[in-house]
Amino acid sequence: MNIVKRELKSNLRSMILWSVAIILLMSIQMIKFESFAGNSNINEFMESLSQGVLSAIGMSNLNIATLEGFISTISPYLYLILGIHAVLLGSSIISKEERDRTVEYLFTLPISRRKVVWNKLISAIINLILLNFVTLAATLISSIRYEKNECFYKFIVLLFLAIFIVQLIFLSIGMLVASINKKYKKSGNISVSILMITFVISSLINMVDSVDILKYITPFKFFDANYILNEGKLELVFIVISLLIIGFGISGTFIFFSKRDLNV
Amino acid sequence: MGIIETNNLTKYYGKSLGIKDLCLEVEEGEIFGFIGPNGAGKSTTIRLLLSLIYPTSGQVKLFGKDIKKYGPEVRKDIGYLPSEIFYYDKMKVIDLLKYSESFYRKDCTKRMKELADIMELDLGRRIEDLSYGNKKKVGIVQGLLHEPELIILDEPTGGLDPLMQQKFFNLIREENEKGATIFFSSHILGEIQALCNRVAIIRDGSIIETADIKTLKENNYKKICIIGDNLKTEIFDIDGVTKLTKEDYGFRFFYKGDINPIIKAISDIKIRDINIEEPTLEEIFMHYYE
Repeated sequence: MNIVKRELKSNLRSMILWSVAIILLMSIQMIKFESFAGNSNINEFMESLSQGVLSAIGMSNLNIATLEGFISTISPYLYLILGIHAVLLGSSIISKEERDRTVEYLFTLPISRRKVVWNKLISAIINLILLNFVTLAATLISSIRYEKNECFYKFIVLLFLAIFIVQLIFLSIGMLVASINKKYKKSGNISVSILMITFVISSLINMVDSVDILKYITPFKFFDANYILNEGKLELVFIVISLLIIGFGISGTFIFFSKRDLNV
Repeated sequence: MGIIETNNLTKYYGKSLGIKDLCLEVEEGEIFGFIGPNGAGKSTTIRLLLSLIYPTSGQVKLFGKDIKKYGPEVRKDIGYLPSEIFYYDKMKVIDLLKYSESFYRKDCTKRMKELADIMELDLGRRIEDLSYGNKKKVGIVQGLLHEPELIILDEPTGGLDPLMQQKFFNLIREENEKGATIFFSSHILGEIQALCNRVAIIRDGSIIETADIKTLKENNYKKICIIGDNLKTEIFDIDGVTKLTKEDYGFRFFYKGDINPIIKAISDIKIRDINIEEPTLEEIFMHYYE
């Protein structure tokens, strides 16, 4: 538990910065929504745009005059931002001891690497949950003056659950990359690159129908907000794929990090 | 029982050699010197002992236990002082020491205070504000606060002023008298000579000699200087003569082995003077490096 506490403390500053950024972002988005809310003209305008344009920005089939519709349209950016946070956290939480050259301190104490990883994982997950809650709270508070029905709450809970799953996916990817790679700068770059590539793929899927099959490899497409809104659930197959990726990433982290030479 | 035992310990970094077939045996209660130049494999060996890196082949036993299996358990009884000290910059010294203590399941507060007093360490300061020498002091306190049975020191004196060095050496001697085994790696001969009972000399990843400091100094080598005119090199073509150098006044060389052949050879020629000395450890050491 001492390591968990220590990690939480050392991540506090970055946590606050991310939170502030997200609160700002959500407030600005909600100011934008103010002009759409209940405005039927906006829907007519949207319909007049070509489907191609709308698909590219991931806004087809959405009613952005409603709060849930609006949140749906901005959801890719929530996935992206919280995903970046998670992948960076994952890679840095493993490689930071090498970056700060504290390897010779921490790993010569009477604790196994496996236990260190466990503790770091717990602290990272607490960080993810906190940021998820901050985002959820920012969404709810900044939209406090709009009426919400039961459907909205169900949607928002499912959406943030989905976001949490995607956070876990990118956390485990970041950790895995850092546990395989000895060079901490490289692991950060590789982790973010993986995330960006999957994000680009997800945009590609929006635009080109024929590459729809790629949706199985980009977490950004696993839990489409549109689908959650219309169906009121998360797709089982993607839950399974997510759990497999998370399980693979985390068990890989334990195995590789315990076996490799540390960069002293 | 050996406190440290390594068996044909070999480490390659990719293709480049770290150490090869290293066999060490350090007994309980020894102050064991480990000497060699930079890049000889000293730090590699220590990192293998602490499982920071893993051997390509061979094995390590500490306190008779295989570290592959009992790593965390044996590290409970080890204190390690690395050559360069890095801690979490934002932490205060006292918080760092308490954090270290929390890994040992015992109350180390008293010993921590004692050590800090001896080393004149200010516990209230932040790590990032400390000078190199002061960080080293934190390292010393952190390495010793749990009263370890094995103390591993890697080039420990860098950054300490002579007075602190003396205090540190006294501390190490005291720990040794209380029963701790010391593994002292250094490239500074003076400190090894002053502190250690036994020494291993490492070069290019292999141990070239392990010996008692005394036998190394007294029994094996003589530094001989012969002064005379028209001396011929062939006279000194004897087994055991090394580093033969011709000077204006005669010859200088090191000799290892039975002294009689040398005496006999010299008795046949006319010399002006002869000088036979114990070489310093440094000279013995340089000899190994050529």
